[in-house]
Amino acid sequence: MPMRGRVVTTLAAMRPGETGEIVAVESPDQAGCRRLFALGLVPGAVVALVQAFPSFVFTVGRTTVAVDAETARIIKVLLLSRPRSPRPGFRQTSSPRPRSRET
Amino acid sequence: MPHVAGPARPAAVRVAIVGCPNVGKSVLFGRLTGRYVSVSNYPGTTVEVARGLRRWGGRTFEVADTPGLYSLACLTEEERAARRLLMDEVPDWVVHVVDAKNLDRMLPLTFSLVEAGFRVMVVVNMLDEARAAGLEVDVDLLADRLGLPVVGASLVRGEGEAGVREVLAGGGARPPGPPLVPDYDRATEPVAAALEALLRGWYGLSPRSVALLCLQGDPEMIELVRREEGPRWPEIRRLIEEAGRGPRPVRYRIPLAAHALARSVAAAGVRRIAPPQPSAGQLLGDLLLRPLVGLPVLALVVYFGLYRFVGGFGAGTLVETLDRVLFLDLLNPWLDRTVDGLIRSEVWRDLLVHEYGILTLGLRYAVAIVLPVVGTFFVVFALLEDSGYLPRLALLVDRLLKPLGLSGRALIPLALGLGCGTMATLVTRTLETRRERVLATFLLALGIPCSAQLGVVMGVLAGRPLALAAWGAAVTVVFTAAGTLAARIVPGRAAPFFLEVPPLRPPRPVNIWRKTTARMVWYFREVLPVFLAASIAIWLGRLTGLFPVILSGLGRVCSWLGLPAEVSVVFLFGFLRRDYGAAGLYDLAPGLSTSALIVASVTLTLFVPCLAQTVLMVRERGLPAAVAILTAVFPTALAAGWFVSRVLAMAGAAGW
Repeated sequence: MPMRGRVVTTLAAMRPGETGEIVAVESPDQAGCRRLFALGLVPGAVVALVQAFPSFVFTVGRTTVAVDAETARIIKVLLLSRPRSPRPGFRQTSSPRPRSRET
Repeated sequence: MPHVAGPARPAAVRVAIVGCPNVGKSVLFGRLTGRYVSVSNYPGTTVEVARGLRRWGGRTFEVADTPGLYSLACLTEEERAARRLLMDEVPDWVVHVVDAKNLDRMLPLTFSLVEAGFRVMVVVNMLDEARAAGLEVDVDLLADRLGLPVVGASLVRGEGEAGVREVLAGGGARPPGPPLVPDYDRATEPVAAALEALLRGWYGLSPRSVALLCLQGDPEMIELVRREEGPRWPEIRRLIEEAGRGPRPVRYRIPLAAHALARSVAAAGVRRIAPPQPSAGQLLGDLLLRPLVGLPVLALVVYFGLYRFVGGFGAGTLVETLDRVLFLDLLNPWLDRTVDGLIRSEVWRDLLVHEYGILTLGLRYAVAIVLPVVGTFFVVFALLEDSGYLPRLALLVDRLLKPLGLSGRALIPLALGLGCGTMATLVTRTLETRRERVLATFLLALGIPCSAQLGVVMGVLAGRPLALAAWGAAVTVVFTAAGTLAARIVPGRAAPFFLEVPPLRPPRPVNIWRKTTARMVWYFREVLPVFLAASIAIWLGRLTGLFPVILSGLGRVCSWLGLPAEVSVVFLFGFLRRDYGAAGLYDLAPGLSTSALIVASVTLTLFVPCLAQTVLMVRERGLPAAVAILTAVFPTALAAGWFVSRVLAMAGAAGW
């Protein structure tokens, strides 16, 4: 099974329970970008996805934010490892894929 | 610096409270001034600026509570309202309220305010919640780093209020050194300096701040600069365009520099002293995010909150008691007798009492029929708001609202529209794009029944669940179809959805009480005058013979819909005031067949909004948009009513 190294993907492609570091916000319009910044979604911030349906819900710092799929797709993240002790209620996939630890 | 607050200044010290939504600005305002503005656990509920005057420390303070402001580079109308206040009034003090748990994303605004030249103090609020989350905030260290007066607070409990007063009155320790502002990188600084040097106009913000906002592509500020700077505009425009170029443009670096600095200050000032303990509220809050839990809870809320409490208790028990017992049995006969005894002229008597009198009809509708229904609705809405349930619902329904051209954020005005469409039209300001505001305003005017209508419809159709279901289905179909169509007609892009989800908190009875009463007072200030005006209009209409003419015209529309002629009175009243018309339907209900009641309820629900809402639509969306909306609503309502009457007739339910 291939190891997933430094995987850069989008918030829309993350699974619940995963964490990632924001590397870029690629909004087509400046306004959308600024608003996401204001919510703390800036490059360098670490996000943890809580759920992906019906909206993407994640925590960033101590804020919980919900966005739609279109917005989730413009947020580029570097996947980090799964949190060691997920909060109860997370949907766990049956076989967690091995993944190298990033910092 | 555009202002100096001289100590000998005789006028009041002007203080503006700013900050993100949901950080406690309105609580601080209430504590400082003794006045209460609606405070809720939902981002973006203060849409108009509240002001209060208070004396302490030997000086008079004029405090303004501004709408939520995330960043000086504004996006929503309410943010622009907050910035405009700062620019127009140039307050002596800007009090920036921040959430202790989220310092890293709140401090960039502090820097912007300092850059803009304001005298800033920072209130680090919600220390209690931060402690519960295992965080310790070092307020003195923050003051040191920021170079600003910083007060730690848990404003809901009253902690920190005295500290804020002391600083504003000129006490408190003076922070050492100049206030902290971000250093922008080598690519940014020369452009900012060049643009700053070109600015000559007066903006209420420092030239540095205006330059940074322009470089970030703020459309309102750029337009302002274009108008102010005349001959220097081409050069300024060149700099602004340059700032948008390249793989990492300057307009992108400016906010990033501010955020990076904020993170470093927050990292120094906030320590984790305990691991976060998920509270019961947090777990429940997470559960409500799931459709499988959230949607059944919504059904419960609608059933118990709207159907049982507003419909059953408010529109049933309370209206029955107030209307039958208080007005029809006691007050109205007494008023009729008293006025008849006092006034000779039949004409003037009819203005005050009898069938359409100001007192016997206008006042009775306002107090006995509308007040209990709206009041009970506001209680339910306040409970939902204060608990933090509404944002969770918003993210659940975002996908459902997308085909209507709306995002989940529009849920709040739409839900509030079930209480009062006028108030809800005002709250559409919290939506970001003009397209979304227009679409929401349209749907509020067409398919969202206000609580007076809702209550009366429920009351009228009570005990006939099939009829209620038919009404609900018809309104839902029209709402969805018209919304989908409008989303295709109104040009523009789909509104992106992003929303901060506040923690779930148990609603506080004090908040519920204050919020409900504040809304009721607002509502009554808007309602009662229009009610009385409507009574006078009807009196004039009868006196001049205009009223019967309109009624016979509307009577023809009614017979076309298969309704008895007396329903035309309801439509006429509904024109003047939607809930007024609904209340009229309540009076007529016993004499109408079920199918006629369904048709009348559907038509009246969809019919043009009340006078107050129309006025607000014109004010908020502009005359052309308001006219377009009304032009769409009127035929839609009649066509829907006609269609329902045909369907019922075909189903053999006419006269049912």
